[in-house]
Amino acid sequence: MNLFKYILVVAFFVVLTGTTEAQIQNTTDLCSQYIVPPFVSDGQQYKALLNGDEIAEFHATFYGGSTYRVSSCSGKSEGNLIFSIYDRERNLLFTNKDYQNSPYWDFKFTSTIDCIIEAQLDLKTTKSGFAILLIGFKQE
Amino acid sequence: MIRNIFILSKRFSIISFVALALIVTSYSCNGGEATTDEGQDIEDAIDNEIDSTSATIVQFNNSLFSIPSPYEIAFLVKNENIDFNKDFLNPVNRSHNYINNFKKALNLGVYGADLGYLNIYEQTPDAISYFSAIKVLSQELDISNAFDQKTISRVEKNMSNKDSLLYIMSSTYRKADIYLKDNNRSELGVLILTGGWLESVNVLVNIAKTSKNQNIIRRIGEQKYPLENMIKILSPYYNESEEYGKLIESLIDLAYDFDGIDVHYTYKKPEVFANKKLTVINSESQLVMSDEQLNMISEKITVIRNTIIE
Repeated sequence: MNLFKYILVVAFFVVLTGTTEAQIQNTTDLCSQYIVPPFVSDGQQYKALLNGDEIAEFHATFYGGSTYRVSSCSGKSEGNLIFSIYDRERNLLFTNKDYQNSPYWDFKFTSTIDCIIEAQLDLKTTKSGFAILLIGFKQE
Repeated sequence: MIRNIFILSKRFSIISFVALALIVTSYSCNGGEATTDEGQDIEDAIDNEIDSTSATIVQFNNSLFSIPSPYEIAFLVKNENIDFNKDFLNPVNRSHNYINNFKKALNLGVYGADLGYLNIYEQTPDAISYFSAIKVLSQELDISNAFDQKTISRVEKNMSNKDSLLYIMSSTYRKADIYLKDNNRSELGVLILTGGWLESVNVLVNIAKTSKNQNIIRRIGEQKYPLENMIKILSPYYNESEEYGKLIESLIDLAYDFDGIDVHYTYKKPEVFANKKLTVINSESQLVMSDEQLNMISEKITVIRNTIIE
């Protein structure tokens, strides 16, 4: 019986892991639909598990003269994730909160700038989940 | 009687366990649309990536810092009307020399950057050779998920279509990044990033040596922050092996030279075009870099790059 229980426990976690991966894949697919030509992916995926009001952040350099698209998603529907972009002096350059949590936004940089991108869940719709961000640049 | 209760109790606990698994699975399949609280049920059962009781700032997994795509640099070079030069690239016949995963991953990044450069200059025959090298290295690194047969076929079909190929290759490298992170092999993913970055910056360095093109030189100076980010991404793997340690030390040494570059930043209010979902970032940054600094940086980049491709 102990062996049977052990197998069940293992099976349970296998199912959970598979389910989690499937959910992340769904969220990634949701995000990926906005990184399409003429936008080319930067080759990376940014993922974080967020609980409550936690904030995920990372640094990115955007080149002057280029246009970028930031796509952000959490869960299976759009609008669950708030993302904001700050400069190194923490001046707010953009937040999608002002635009109904738009799942993507384009940015044209006149000068090369190092930025901080923050992402947090919109607690009105989601209490926890994976945040996925993708960045693409436009072929000029 | 007591024994029966015990068995019943055991059965009940197993049934409860199975029921719980089914509920969670069923919930997940439905997408949890009622509350969209998708992670709540599963978080307790999986390894938490974060400690929710401590920091409120969490990391994007192993990618706290983004590195610009090598393709961006290739586009800049093309837009400056600079002639194609094959000598800037890592010869494809060297791909067989890379024996360990450290060198294979670095040079998968190098060849990816080279393929982008070839592709943007529409050098199709060479692009095919470089793609073959990438295919072999990715197979040897067991990144089968990203470089699957479907992707390979798509690449081969679109080899002469510059735009499609760039899109497919950048998506493929993203799939490789995801695959390596999800399989706890991020130490290889960061090397692919590093190789791609070094190769693309080395192309800039080679051009700057001969053309003195100011836009190219400025782009070299602008690598100050991407280099900082690169070091921060690599640092957790310092003790992975002697090779990792040496690579990180050489990049830190390079960063000392970049530190000497002054960056004057001026914040300016962005303009928003909501109907186009577009924001124009008007803030300005100006670099002050001497010829001596450029020479030192260029020399060190070439040395590091040549070390990883040898």
